[in-house]
Amino acid sequence: MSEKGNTLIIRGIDLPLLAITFIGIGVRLLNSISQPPVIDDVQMAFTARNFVERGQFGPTAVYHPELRNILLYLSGRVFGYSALAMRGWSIIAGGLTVLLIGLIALRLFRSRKAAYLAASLVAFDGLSVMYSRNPYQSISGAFFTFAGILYWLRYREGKGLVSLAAAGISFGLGAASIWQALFPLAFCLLFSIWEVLGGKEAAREMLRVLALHFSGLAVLPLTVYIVTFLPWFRRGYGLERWLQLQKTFYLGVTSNLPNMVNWVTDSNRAWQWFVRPVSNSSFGVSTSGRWFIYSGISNPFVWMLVLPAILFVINRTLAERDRAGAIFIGLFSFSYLPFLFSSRNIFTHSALFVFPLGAIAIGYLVERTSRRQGWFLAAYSALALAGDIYLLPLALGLAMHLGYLQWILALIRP
Amino acid sequence: MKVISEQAEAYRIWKSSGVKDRILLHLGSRPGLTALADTAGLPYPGSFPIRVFGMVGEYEKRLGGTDYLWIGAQADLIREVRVAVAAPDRDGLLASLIKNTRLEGDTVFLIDLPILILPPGLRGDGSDEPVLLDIDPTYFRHGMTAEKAYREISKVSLHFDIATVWTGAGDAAITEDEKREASAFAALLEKAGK
Repeated sequence: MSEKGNTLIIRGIDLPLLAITFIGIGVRLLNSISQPPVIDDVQMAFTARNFVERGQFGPTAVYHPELRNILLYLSGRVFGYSALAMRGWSIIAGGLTVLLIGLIALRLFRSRKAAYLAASLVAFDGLSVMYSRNPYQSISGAFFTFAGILYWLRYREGKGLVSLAAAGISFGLGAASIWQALFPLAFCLLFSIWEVLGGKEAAREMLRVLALHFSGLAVLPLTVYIVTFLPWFRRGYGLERWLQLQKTFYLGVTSNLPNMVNWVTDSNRAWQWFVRPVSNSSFGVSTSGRWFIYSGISNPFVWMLVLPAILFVINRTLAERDRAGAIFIGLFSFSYLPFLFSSRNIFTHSALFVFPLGAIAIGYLVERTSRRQGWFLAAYSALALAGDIYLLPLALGLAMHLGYLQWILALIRP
Repeated sequence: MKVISEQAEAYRIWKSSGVKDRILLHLGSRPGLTALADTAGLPYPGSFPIRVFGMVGEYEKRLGGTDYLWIGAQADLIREVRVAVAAPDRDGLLASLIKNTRLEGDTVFLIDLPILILPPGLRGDGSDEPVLLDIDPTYFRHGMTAEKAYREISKVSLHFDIATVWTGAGDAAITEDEKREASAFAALLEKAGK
């Protein structure tokens, strides 16, 4: 594991990774445009118009950041609040997250096999697929956040201010989707500061670099975030009221707790994410009056390997005193621990920021193990894929027609 | 100045007057700030595209005395609410408001709508921006009279361009004394050419 190494992997067009990405987009597209609206589609279409045209919040998700509303309004204006308008952003964001995870894995662990496996695990993951077919903002928030992480890694490798600016803008868009983006952003900022303070530059140079990092990873994201509130500012409010508004949002977010009551959907604690199957579902009704359900369920062959894989990365990082491994562990910890130690219940969509990093750890674990046992990569990939293929019809809204999945549907139904 | 027979009429007066994004000062403990269920009135079509319409029309269909101010905020008529209430009624008002909102100091936030619960006794904020003045008869409790209220308003040089006074007609919870004082207060405003 080395930070330096084969840069051709990153600069060149990586056809296998692109192929995995296209497969990921294809899976998310399957059946998504032809299926009727779910409740989220309807509520978020109204909320988008209410915010952009009038600066008002609601009727749903009144304390969420506003990028989702702006994007849905734009696509709604162009495509007329069609399935494409409502789900297109999430499909693109979810699909491109596959690519970003592959690129982050490549940049940190310099292993194509690990990167391909990590990307594949995200491409076929039921929860990621389910949220990629819904206008909810977690998937786009995760996409922008992973883009921010990737650009930040590029910046650290000396790719210049454009990468820093791209990181700042991406993190800002991530936070403007969902506040969860602030946790990995905080890590990137703190790590950058720590590296500067631990360096040997003169004080003046140190201050210059610190100011640069602060501008790129604090001021720029904040500016992007504030800009997304322009429709609200147009109503005559100022920055003082905006700060109060953020506090109101915080109070709203922290009091909106999932309280699910059945076996599968009762996955409202972050510690459950990687120790047993967790899920989330969305319901809809077709013009013929028939109810249907999209249900993303985590593949236990994948998600339950996340924590062992993280322990493996920690072990190797300590043994090899590797900075890239330390960065990865930091990113994972900052993304996961705030939820793990939270005393409140947590919605499963929050795992969309954490699981893809876990997939990178799995890719690394499996690739390293397969160096000694060559069969392991193929065997694990086959097992993971079998689990994904079994569960994917649930995420695609097709499970009602498949007899072998009825036992899971029976568990999910309220 | 308008004397109104039902509280929700105030909303219609503001709307027909063309007001937009205004500060409203409500006197009394019944400010009509109950939020309607947030997703009520939405259609759930079985197919795309979704026909998206403005929600205000849906809210107006359910306009009433308990929600007229909330709908006023949704309709962009009001951007901030200040409520002055007699000291003994203050806790009850706060308790009723924070069921669906959060309290921070003297300010309750209903989504993004700041609602300032003013301390006993009116005060000006030094601003020249005229407010919408809205009064319900519960303000005239605990020794508050029409004349006293009018003196306070004059003392703090309160600027208002539209005043709506609900006299409590037909509401059994409003006492005759309160109704009488509300009417007297309206008469004082009328006399002063407000």
